[in-house]
Amino acid sequence: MDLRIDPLQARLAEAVDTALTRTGDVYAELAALGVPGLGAPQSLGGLGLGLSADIMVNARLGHGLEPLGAYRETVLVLELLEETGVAEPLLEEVLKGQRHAATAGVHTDTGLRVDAEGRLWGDSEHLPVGDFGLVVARATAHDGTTRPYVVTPDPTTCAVETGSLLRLPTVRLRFSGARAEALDLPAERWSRALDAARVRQAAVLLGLADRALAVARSHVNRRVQYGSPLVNLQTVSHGLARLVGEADGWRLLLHEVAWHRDQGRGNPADAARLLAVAAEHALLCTRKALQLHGVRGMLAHSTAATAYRLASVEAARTGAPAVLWARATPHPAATGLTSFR
Amino acid sequence: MHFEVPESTVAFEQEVNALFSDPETRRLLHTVRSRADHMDGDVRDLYRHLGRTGVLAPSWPVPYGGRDADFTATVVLLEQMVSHGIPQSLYYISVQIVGSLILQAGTEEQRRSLLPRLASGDLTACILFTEPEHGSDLASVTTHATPAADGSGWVIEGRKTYNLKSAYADVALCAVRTDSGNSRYEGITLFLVPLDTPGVSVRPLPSLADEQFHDIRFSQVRVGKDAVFGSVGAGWSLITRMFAAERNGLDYYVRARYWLELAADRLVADGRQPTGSELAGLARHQARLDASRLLTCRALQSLHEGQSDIAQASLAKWHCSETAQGIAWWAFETLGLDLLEPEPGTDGPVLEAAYREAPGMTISGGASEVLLDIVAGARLLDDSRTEG
Repeated sequence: MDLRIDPLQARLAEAVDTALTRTGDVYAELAALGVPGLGAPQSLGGLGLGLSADIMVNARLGHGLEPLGAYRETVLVLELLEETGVAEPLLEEVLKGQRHAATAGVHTDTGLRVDAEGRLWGDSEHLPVGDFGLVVARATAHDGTTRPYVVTPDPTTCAVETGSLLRLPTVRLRFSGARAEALDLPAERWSRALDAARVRQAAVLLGLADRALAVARSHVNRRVQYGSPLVNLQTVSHGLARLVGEADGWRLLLHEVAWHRDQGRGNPADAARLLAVAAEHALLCTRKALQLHGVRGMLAHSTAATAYRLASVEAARTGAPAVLWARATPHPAATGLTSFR
Repeated sequence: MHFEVPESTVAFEQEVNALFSDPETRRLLHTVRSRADHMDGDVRDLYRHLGRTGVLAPSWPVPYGGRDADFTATVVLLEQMVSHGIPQSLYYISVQIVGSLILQAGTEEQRRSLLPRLASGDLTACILFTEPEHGSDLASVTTHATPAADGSGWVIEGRKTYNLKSAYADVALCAVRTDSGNSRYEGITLFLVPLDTPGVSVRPLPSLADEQFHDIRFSQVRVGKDAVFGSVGAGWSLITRMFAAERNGLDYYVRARYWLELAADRLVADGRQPTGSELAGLARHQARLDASRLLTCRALQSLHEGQSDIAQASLAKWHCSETAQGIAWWAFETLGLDLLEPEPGTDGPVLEAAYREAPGMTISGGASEVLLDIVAGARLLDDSRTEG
């Protein structure tokens, strides 16, 4: 057991930080690092570095206040379609970062439906902004069964509508008879891919939380009230110190869950539980950062306000924390309270 | 990062599991629990039985009574002790705190003479820092020592209080003022005082929890020069080093783990159907317990590699103690008065005792407020480091 960031993880984090400082297309900058293929299966042409690498990328995206949800949606679709032989030419484009992929109705029920001719109808949930060339939609067929379908969006049957959540840009896909190909996915593949998506989402949220804490820390050292920096007030410093301590614990847990997934181990509820705590932690940290900034934090484009909006949307993107806790509750007899076995 | 546990640790866990389940261990444990002394119950015969097999200090070097194992062996040892109901406080203070300090900062002679005896259970130790007027503020110690008139050593005078396990300790690591110079942090010296020395009196103080406190008086207690641990006047730096060994959170994490396991069992005992909010509460505590375990392991890894980090250790202790306390209180709020009944297969009501113990967990061994001050100083000030 070694609880220090390893050199590969450190280099990846540094590379993502550098990519985020460049002014060009951030997706293209990341593609140059091998994203999104970094953690994607080698059978699809990915690097197969696994979640232990992917969480470093996502944590730094969160810290950089560039969550880039289309990237995580793309990786999720790549993992769902592994070894299915479906949409292979498109997958190649997606893997190179030239197009994005998305899921619709997978994280939340959107009421999408497929008619007897195999055509998809209905609206997706709010999706992160992206250039979507491929969609995996979970929809209900005319016979009442619910299953995943692969859709290649075509402007004649899939309109892209712009929207916003907390004033952050989103898109919604409006399907009006899009050709949908039923996907026969083993349940194990489905749950494994969704769990991995939860781990990546937790990484983004913990990165966002770290940024909020860093911003708050910087502010309370600079802002002088009553003749002293705010950080010298114990009500301020203890509140932040608690969150710093929680952050350390959740970060280690993130790495452990990712590592176990990479080894093909782990309890079924681990990923949902990790995402639930990461979501709540991100909300707490961003709210604390706003509180400590006072009114100036409430300015529309303050970093604290931006972190607050981003963390809120990302915390609920794959399900509200309350819903995640429901997924994270194994029967008490299966709590697996042993540490190393 | 990687989370692979060595095969040797897996084998070690099996070894201690078998040892803790053997008939002689259970017989000695039953004797401890009978509390024939009307105090905590004397656990020293049990420790000597366990110590004979060399399991009590697995991470120490072989010449000092250890096995050269990595820190994960210490974690499984404590997990197994607690889940087998073996009292761990006196062991933890003796081996993991006092012993670890001797390993880090003692002379070679002290290491060779004291560590094997601590590891075998033949020697037990307690810590005497707190005084009636000074709890968290350890630099304010007033117990003092003056050079003996005949030059043979020191004469200690003063009072220590609220210490655990003093009635069962052979020797005490005692913080004493030897020079009342200008700085509160200078002039403190650590002594290893045999508690059977004439002039030492130990009086038990019943506590809210199962383990009693003690009031210790030193009246003209004469000790030799060799009782000084470290250098005269250099006690403060040793105390802060000891904090890194004491405050890794391990002893709190293992209790938290056991209590959560028992509470989980109680949620479904006798066909009881847990509610959704009870299950969500269980999941919340399990997640935080996992984080506590990892923070403890991080602190232990640093300690094992000789990188004493007081802020990292303080954070671990703060986290683990709040986790344990939260679990005990959540169990009561969830199970109500049923919690006060003994668990099947245990000698006494473990969760009831946990509930009484819980408030003290964030006070002793470093109050949460003090620990948060240390974390804030190391991680929040402008010139401090950041993680992530």
